Amino acid sequence: MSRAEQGFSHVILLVAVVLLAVATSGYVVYLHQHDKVAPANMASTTTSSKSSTMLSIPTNTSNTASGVTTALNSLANSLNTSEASANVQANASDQSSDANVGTAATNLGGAYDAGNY
Amino acid sequence: MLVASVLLTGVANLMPLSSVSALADAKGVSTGPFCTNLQTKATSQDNRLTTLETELSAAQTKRSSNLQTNWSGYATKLSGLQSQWKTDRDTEYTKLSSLATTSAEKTAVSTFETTVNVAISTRESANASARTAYQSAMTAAAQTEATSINAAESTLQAAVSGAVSTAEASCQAGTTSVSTIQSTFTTTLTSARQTFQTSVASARAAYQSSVKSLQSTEQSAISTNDATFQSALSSATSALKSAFGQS
Repeated sequence: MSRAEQGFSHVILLVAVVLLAVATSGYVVYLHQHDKVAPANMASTTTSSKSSTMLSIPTNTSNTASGVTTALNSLANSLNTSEASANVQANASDQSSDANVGTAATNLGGAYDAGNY
Repeated sequence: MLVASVLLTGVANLMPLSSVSALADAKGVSTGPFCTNLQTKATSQDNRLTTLETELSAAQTKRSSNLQTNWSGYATKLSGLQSQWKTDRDTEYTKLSSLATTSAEKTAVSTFETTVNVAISTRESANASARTAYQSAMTAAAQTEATSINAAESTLQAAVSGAVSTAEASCQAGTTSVSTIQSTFTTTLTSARQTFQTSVASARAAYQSSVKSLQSTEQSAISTNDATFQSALSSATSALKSAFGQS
C-alpha cells in the first residue's frame, strides 16, 4: 500500500471510531432519558428523593397529631382549673369572724346575773 | 313609836341574820341589803348590758364587714385567675391554629375555640349567679340571726326590768319578806337568762346551719356548672380531633 493509501485508511478508521463513540453516547443519553438504565449516582439520588418523600408525610402527620394532642391536653389542664377550689377557700374565710358574734351574744346573757344582786 | 322600835330591834337581835332582812321598817318598807341596793345594782347591770350590747353590735358589724371584704377580695382574685386562664387558653388556641393546614382544619379550630369560649362564659356566668345567691342568702341569714338575738335581748331586758320593778314595789310595800322578794327576783332573772341563752343558741345554730347549707348549695352549683362545661368541652374536643383525623 502506498503511503497515500495508508493515510486514507487511517482517516477512515478515525472517522469510524468517532462515529461509534458518538453513537454510543447518544444511546446512553437516550436510555437515561427514558429511565431504562440509571447510572449509579442517579439511582442513589432517586432513592434518596423517594425515601425522603415517603418519610415526610407520616412525619408531618405524626407531628400534627402530637401537637394537637399536646395543645388539647394543655388546654384541658388550664380549663380544669375551675373555680371550685378557689371558692372553697373563700367560703372558709366567710366563717372567720362569726365566732366573735357567738362570744358577744353569750356574754350578753351574763349581763344579768342574779348572783350579783 | 320609840318603844315599838326598841321592841323590834330587840326581837331582831334574837332572830337569824337572814330573817332580819325580811323585816319591814317602821314605815312598812322592807329593809336589807337586797332592797337597799336593788336600784343601784340594777343600774350597774343596765350599764354592763349596754357595754355588752355595744360589743355584740360591733361583732355583728365586723362579721358583715368581713364578709363584704372577703367577697370583694375573692372577686378581685377570681378576676385575675380568669384573666390568666384566658391567656393560657389563647396560647393553646394559637398552637392549634398553627397546626391547622387545611381549610377544614382551620374551620374546626375556629369552631372549637368559639364553642369552648361560649362554654366558659356560660360556666362563669352560672358560677357568678351561684355566688350572688350565696352572698345574698348569707347576708339575709346574718340579719335574721341578729334580729333573733336582738329580740331575745329585748325580751331579757324587759323581763329583768319587770323583775326589778316588781322587787322594788315589794320592797316598798313591806308586806313580803325580803328573802321572798329576792327569791322571786332571782327565779325570774334566772328564767329570763335561760330563755335568752336558749334563744341565742337557737339563733346561732340556725345561722350556722344556714351557712353550711348555703355553702354546700353554692359549691354543688359550681360543680354542676363545671360538669356541664366539661361535657361541652369533651364534645368540642372530639369534633376537633376528628377534623384532624384523630379518633
